[in-house]
Amino acid sequence: MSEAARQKTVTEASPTKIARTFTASAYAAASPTAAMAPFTIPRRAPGPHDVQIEILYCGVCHSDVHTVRNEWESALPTVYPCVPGHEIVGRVAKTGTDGKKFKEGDLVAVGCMVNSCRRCASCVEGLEQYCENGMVLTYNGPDNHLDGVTYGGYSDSIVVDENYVLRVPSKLDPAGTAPLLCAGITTSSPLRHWNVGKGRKVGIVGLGGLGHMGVKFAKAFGAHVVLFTNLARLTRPRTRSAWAQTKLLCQKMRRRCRSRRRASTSSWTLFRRITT
Amino acid sequence: MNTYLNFLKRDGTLALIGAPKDPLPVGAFGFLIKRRSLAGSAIGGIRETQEMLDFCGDHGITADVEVIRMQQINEAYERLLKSDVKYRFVIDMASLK
Repeated sequence: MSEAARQKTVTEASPTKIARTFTASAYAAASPTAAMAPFTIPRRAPGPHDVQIEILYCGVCHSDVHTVRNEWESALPTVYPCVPGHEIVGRVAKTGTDGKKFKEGDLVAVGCMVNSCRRCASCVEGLEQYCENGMVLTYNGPDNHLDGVTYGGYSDSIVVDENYVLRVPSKLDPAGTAPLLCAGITTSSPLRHWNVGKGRKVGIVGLGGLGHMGVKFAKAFGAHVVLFTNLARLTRPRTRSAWAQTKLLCQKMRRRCRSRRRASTSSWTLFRRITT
Repeated sequence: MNTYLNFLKRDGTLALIGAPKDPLPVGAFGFLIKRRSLAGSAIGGIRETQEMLDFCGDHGITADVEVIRMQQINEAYERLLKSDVKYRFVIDMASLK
């Protein structure tokens, strides 16, 4: 489906064009080569089903860098100015007149999408991320309320339809929760889809924002986890403890790592079980 | 890429969850041998995301983060590209006020 048709379909799903806006502070990139800098953006005044969120924390995803620098030009060309950020945790500042799910002060979160058509087979099945008419990304997506593209979480506030807002369990640290909205769900969803759990063995490649969440989820689901990483990533005591009993496959980087036996591929060495 | 594929057992799946800017080189034999699959996955639906957050609440799971000020974002991008973060930067939006 063309971008124009996609925008039209999404707009038809939410025909309310909202003229009233308020001003929010943000950080934006003006071009693929520009540094991120302070910027002022309009946010729509909350509609009947919207939630206005005061953003407390926003995670920094590699997607932010790809988008800001227009590195995904062939699939998702960046429209400037670009305000990235899709790992958002904040407090509800206002709710729309018909809002049912949230009240002022609730700790909430917003991830990578802020709308979808709600009618296609994927949406009906709760797989809005695979919306056949195109989900609306939290940033650099077609804004079906204001003209232009959506602006993300590098901002002091955001307004989102309550159906695309998540509730944050009160026990969780808000800063540590923010990355769950992209890194967390991006790893937990495929682990669940491919039934990774007790009695199954899973390999996680890389120990970055996604990889470290993948290890945590796979272990919590009861799987045998094998991590492929550069051992230099695993020096902090807290980390060693977090990955206790995780088997590691590390590139031959450091002499201090004692190998127990060769893995099947020569450029990798299987290291002993990390214990604390 | 082919190295990781070759670690999979018969009928195993290699799932891509990131999107590097350059195409990935993959050879056919990694798939033919042992009937392996290459797949992809993007985030999760709203209901599944809420379930994930609730699971994290029940199991005390959060990301390991380094909290930064909004003004440090350009430096954070450079460090991110060098894998110099354990394991996620999070911006404290109070710094924007």
